[in-house]
This record gives sequence, C-alpha cells and structure tokens, in this order.
Amino acid sequence: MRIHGIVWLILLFASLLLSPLIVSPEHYRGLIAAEMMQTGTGYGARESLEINRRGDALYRLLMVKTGFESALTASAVPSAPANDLIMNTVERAGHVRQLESVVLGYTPGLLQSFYLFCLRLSHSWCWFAWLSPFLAALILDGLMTRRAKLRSFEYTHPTVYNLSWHLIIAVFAASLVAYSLVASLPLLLFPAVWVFSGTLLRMLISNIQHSA
Amino acid sequence: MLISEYSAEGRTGLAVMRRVLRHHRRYQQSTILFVSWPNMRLMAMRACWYLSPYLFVEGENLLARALSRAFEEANDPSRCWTDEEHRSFVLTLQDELVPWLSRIIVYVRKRGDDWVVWDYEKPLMNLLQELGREAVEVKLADAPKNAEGIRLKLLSHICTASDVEIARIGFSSDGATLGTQGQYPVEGAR
Repeated sequence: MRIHGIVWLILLFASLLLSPLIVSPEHYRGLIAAEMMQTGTGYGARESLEINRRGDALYRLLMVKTGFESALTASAVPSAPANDLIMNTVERAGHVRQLESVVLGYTPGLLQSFYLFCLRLSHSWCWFAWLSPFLAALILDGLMTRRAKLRSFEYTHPTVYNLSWHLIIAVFAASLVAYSLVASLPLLLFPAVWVFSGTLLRMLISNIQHSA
Repeated sequence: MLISEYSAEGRTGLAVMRRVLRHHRRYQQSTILFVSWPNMRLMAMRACWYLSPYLFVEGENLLARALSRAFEEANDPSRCWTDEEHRSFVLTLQDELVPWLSRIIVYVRKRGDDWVVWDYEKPLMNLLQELGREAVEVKLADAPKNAEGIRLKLLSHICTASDVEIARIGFSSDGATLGTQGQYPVEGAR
C-alpha cells in the first residue's frame, strides 16, 4: 500500500515539475482562463469567484507563505519576451535557441502549474462541501452494513476490503495527477471523484475485519 | 535601455519592490498577479529602479502609492487572468506617476554642495549611485512640464514593446495618449 502511494506521489510531482518544460506560460494562462470561464458558465459567477478566491488562498499558503515563490523568483527569469529582445542580437545555434525558450519559460510555467493545481483542488473542495451529506450517509450505511453482517454471522470480505483500500488510493491519487495535467478537464470529473470514493469507502467500512 | 533582471540593478530593483510591497501589505495580493503576468514583476521592478523609493509627495511614498493602486486596480476579480489585468496595471501605474512627475522637480545633491536636477533621462537610482546619494529634495514646479514626454520616458524605462502592445497603449500624432483613464488630479507636493 505504501509503495502504491509513493508511485502515485512520484507521478504527481513529475507531472507538476516536468509539464512546464513542454508547455509555454502563455498556454498555461489560456488554460487557466478557460477553466475559470468554464466554472463561471457551469456554476455561476458567485461560485466561480469563490473557487478562484479559495484557489488563490491555497496557492499563497503552499507557495508564498512557505517561501517557495520567493526562492524560485529570487534568481529567476520571469520574462521570455524581454529576454528574447536582448538575446536576438547574439548568434546562437538553432538547438540552443530551442532550449533557451524552454529554460526561460520554466519558472513562470512552474508557478502557473502549481496555481492550476491549487485552483482545481479548490474546485474539488467546492464539490466536497456539497456532497458531504451524501458521503456521511455512505459512511453510516457502511457501518450499519458491517454491524448487520456481524450480527447475522455473515462474513466480511478481506479481499473486498483490500481492493477498496487500493482503489481509494488509486482514485484519489489519479485525480490529483489529473488535476496537475495541462489539459482541460470536464466539470463532471470533480463530483465523480467524490462519489466514486464515497462508494468505495462504504465497501471498505462494511468489510472491516471482526478483530479490527 | 531596460534593465535586466540578471544585472545588479535588476536584483536591487527586485529587492526594493519586495520590501515596498511587503511594507504596504501588497505582496500577497501581487503574487497571484505575478503568476498570471510574469512581466508585471519586471515592470514593477523597473519602476522601483526608475523612481527609487526616496520620492515623497503629500507625505506619501510616490512609488509605494503608485504600485499599491496599480495592484489594487489590477486585482479586480472580474479581470481575472485576462489582458485587462495587465492593461489596468500599466494604465494605473502611469496615471499615478506621470501627473506627479510633470508637476515636481527632483534635486539630487552631489558630493560637495552642488544640486543636480533629475531630467528623467536615466533612472533616479542610477543618478543617485553616480552622485553619491547624499540627499534628494522634491519641489513643486512653477509650471507643469510636458506630461506626454514624461509618459513616453517612463514607459520606455519600465515596459517592453510587448507590454505596451498587451496594454493597448497608443500615442496619437497630436500628443493625446490613447488608452489612459481620464484627467490627472494633482494637488500640492511636498
């Protein structure tokens, strides 16, 4: 289970850290603006602003207050166009020019990559708040089912229990990796993650072993 | 020529910008804008280098007030991650600075007892370094100077061509600037 979690964690950080090498900051900006527009048309202006506000707060907490943002930009290269203007006067080989644009756009792209991730986490949290009664009902149902099984001498299934654990980790981790991807995500993905996880949680609780 | 973020001037400008924004509690607000517009950080840094943190008008720091208002204006949620954020930042910055710069005269004391007038040709921080940074005095001019010339000089020191293009700032041949946000109310300076 630990290895399973670590593999997903590596995938998440690889996606967050390596995407800015492939995607330009302008592309990130367009994607974030499109995602904000999508939430605006899907949920309305008030909810969309609330998601943005929480995303901003999360970004500040994770990146600014911890000092990562200052450390990244202290010696950083935030402006590709300005540097292009200066560097165009110097002769370089073609492959060096290609690498330059990747390197110059990395730091702003990385910050935007983290911002996009925070914005999607905020979006997901918005659905958690809405679905929490449903999730609470699933947990209660799981507890009741387990108690009924024990009272009626029915077996709890260790296989289902283990499978549920692994699937919950996989669903949560895969959703985190998906939130870090530089691709437009459908709005339905965000509630679907919670609903699917809730159903798995119910299976997990209803199959906790008798000795536990 | 625009100062580079790699140079000693650029690093000092960034340090001044951080200190000014932190002191006026605008740093948190500005970080999200810097994510959406990385060039905004460079513009703010160049403005810090061009004006220096030593100019005071009406008892307020001119640079801090201009940056605070520019970030406040750009931070409007309705402009989130659009070109309007960038445009409002550049326009507010110039609208805050140009009227004052056209109404004041900045004297810098050289080593000894001579005073030099800042003519906006080079950043004030450069002038202060060259002259030994002994003292700065700000006085109201008898007659206002040509604001358009000062605006051009200011923009040339803080913006790249692409910044001006994104902000959609234009200049007509009769001297009127296209894309500004109205008249400049200027009162007494100190």
